[in-house]
Amino acid sequence: MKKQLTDYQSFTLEDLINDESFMVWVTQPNDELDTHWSSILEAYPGLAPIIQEGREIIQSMRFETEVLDAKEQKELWNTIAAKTTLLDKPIKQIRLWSRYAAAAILVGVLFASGLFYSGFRQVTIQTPYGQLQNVTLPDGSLVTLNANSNIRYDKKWGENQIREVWIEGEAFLKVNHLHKEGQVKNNQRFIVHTGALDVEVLGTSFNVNDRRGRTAVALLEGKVSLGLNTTREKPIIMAPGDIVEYTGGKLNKKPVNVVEYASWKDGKLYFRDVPVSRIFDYFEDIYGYKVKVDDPEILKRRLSGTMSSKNEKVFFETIARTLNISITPDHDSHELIIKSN
Amino acid sequence: MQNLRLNPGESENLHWQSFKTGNPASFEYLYQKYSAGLYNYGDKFSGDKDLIKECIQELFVQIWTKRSSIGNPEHIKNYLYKSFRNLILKKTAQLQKNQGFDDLENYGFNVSLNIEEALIDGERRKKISGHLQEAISKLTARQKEAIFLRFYEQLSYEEIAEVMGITVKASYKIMARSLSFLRDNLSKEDLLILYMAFHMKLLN
Repeated sequence: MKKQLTDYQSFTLEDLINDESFMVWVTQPNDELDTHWSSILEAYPGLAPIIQEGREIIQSMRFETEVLDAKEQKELWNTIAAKTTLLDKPIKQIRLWSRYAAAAILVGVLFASGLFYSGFRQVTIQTPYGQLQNVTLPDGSLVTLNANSNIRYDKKWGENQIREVWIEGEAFLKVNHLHKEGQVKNNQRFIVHTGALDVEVLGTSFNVNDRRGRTAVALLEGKVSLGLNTTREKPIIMAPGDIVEYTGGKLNKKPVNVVEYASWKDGKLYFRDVPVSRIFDYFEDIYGYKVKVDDPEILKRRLSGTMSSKNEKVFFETIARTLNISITPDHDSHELIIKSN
Repeated sequence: MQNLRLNPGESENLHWQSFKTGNPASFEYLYQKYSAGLYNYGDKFSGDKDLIKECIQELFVQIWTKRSSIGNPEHIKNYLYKSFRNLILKKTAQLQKNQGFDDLENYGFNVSLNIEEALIDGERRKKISGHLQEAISKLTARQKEAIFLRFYEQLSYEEIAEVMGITVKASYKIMARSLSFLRDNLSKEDLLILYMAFHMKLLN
């Protein structure tokens, strides 16, 4: 059935448009087709103008699409389901053979989907205490993973797949903006899952912190929508500069200096009137120490200032001096002994 | 080189089999896969969005009800598009009371063609799009529908014939006529601009 090169010799524009491989070449080119059509052009340079014209006709065919939006699609489905699948009560009398047939088909489907998904294995990256790591996602989006954190995502992101990552700990994300205009396609969506929150993103840099049962999302630029993954409540839309904190079952939006908030990725920490207990939590989360305090009064004090967190020892020194306390790591027991001077 | 169309995939056929035995998940799979495309197709026949949704609803309720007696269509997509098309034509004909019910041939099909923004922008694009649109609007509904099915839905001539209920030969004929009409109705200048734009795209 394969066409001979000579078949193309007397091709007209209509022949071209009618040619299956030509159409596919223009709309979904691949190497094989590129080779095929260049060899035709080489053999018959006279065909160049009509090939050009044929391409133009096909390429200029941009039909306006009437979009059925997700909500309408869902509603329509609900109506259909109510009239069909939801109406049919489980069938009581299934003849044996059809039960077997159904089982065989189900196995077939499972098997097919198993094959399909085996190509999409997940990647998990875990950072050790005291170390950051930069990660490039399959779409080129950048993630800075804070110490003692992990991120999980599919090795490959398919053409029609929502980009999804799962994060525990803290991460700063700079997401590749794929959506330009019109209806948002699946592959233009980007969702970050944390313990309690789903953060949906459209081209943005932001910080996610999910530790100690508290999740905080800080947005630097772009737009994200943030929803609890347990309820169907309306998601919160965040604007640059917002921090939304989820704790004790509630979402709270508060304005903070978000640049400072995400500064850990550059090895700097800003504190603005932060309770010392919070900083000690941070020592535990990031460096993996158990903090032992001899005088609980220390915890109630507050601290402001900028410090470098690049070097653990220097960082502890700075804080110790500012608060007039001593901070001594015990490397055997992984404890951080804190005493007031 | 003949068989370059992408294989629609085994999974669709498996879902179809599974749907016929009454699996709701497979039924929903079919809906998720085709409802948006059908909606867009339906919109070309009628601007009445509720009517289109009604037809989609009826189509799916219908195939569910008679799922056990439905055969195994060679192309599931064609089967759905064809049944959907019949429903729409019937419904629109019913709405136009003054027309006889057999007059299914007399229908409207409105498509808008645009030139890709990446190619040319601004005024020029508007102008060329305008010319293209004008030429398109002079085509008959059948011609427009054939062009839509061919270039947008990328159906083969055999498939177009099946959906539109015409012979394969007729589908070739319709396409050839509409293309030569388009060519004759676009000025040399329009084609020249398209040429240039096309070259620029190649260089980038």
